[in-house]
Amino acid sequence: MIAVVSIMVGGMLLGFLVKAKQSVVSANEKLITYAIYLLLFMMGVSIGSNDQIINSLSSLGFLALIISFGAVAGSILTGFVVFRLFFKKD
Amino acid sequence: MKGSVIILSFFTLGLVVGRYTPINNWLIGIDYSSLSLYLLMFLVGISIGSDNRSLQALKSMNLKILLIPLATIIGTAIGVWFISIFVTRYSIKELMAVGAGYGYYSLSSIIIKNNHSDALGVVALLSNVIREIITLLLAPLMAIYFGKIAPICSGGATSMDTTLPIITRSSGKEYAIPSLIHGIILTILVPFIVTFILSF
Repeated sequence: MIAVVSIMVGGMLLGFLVKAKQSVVSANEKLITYAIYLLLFMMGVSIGSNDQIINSLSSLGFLALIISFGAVAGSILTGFVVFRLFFKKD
Repeated sequence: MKGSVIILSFFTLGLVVGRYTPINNWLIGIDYSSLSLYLLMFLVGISIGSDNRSLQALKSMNLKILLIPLATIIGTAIGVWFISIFVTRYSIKELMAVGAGYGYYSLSSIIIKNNHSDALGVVALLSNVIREIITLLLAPLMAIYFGKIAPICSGGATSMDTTLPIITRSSGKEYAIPSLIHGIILTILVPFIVTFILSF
């Protein structure tokens, strides 16, 4: 947890310092994209070789679906409350 | 949308390669995933710090706008808690961690895979991609029936980039900045909240 916090905050400070250098900023964006592609590919590899997960992929997918429904429904409702109480002008 | 298709393709390609080649056996014993995760978090930090919009978000920050990410965090927790009543194989903590991706599927799934398990990482990847897709499809209806904040909360961390256009179209231009600020705040919070939930 502390490692995660300090690494990210360190990155943000560095980002603030180098933001005038457009080449660094755009190189960084590209690097992030490739890092994500690589990490998700590796995630696929480790899951593809795990029989237990492959066999339960449909139930994991179903679980993912109902979690998203719950998360979206809950967010919409609290968003509705905040809108009615604080944003609606009439 | 295009981004999530590409990401899912890389994941699927990995699945096939992992399934039909012995590549994973060669990698056993190398802890590449924690190191690469730290690298990614560092890069994401640089990206946020160097983004002019982050500073702009800080300046236009007021209490009222902060209520929107708060609504998303609380609403997601309530919704996922409700779902957890019907799920027996996974604990509420595990489901909450998945929900706390707030649509930021790439980072949240990798963190969950590293700090918890491959299986829950897959759930986080799929669930947060689905959250983005639901928002892209239903934002206009949400704005009509549940007010102009609803699409922003539904979009979660994606309200700063992929779902921003549809949110602006559904809720109006005056909600573009709140949507942006909401997305930036959640993007920064995702790694912290997910790690925090998993630490229990």
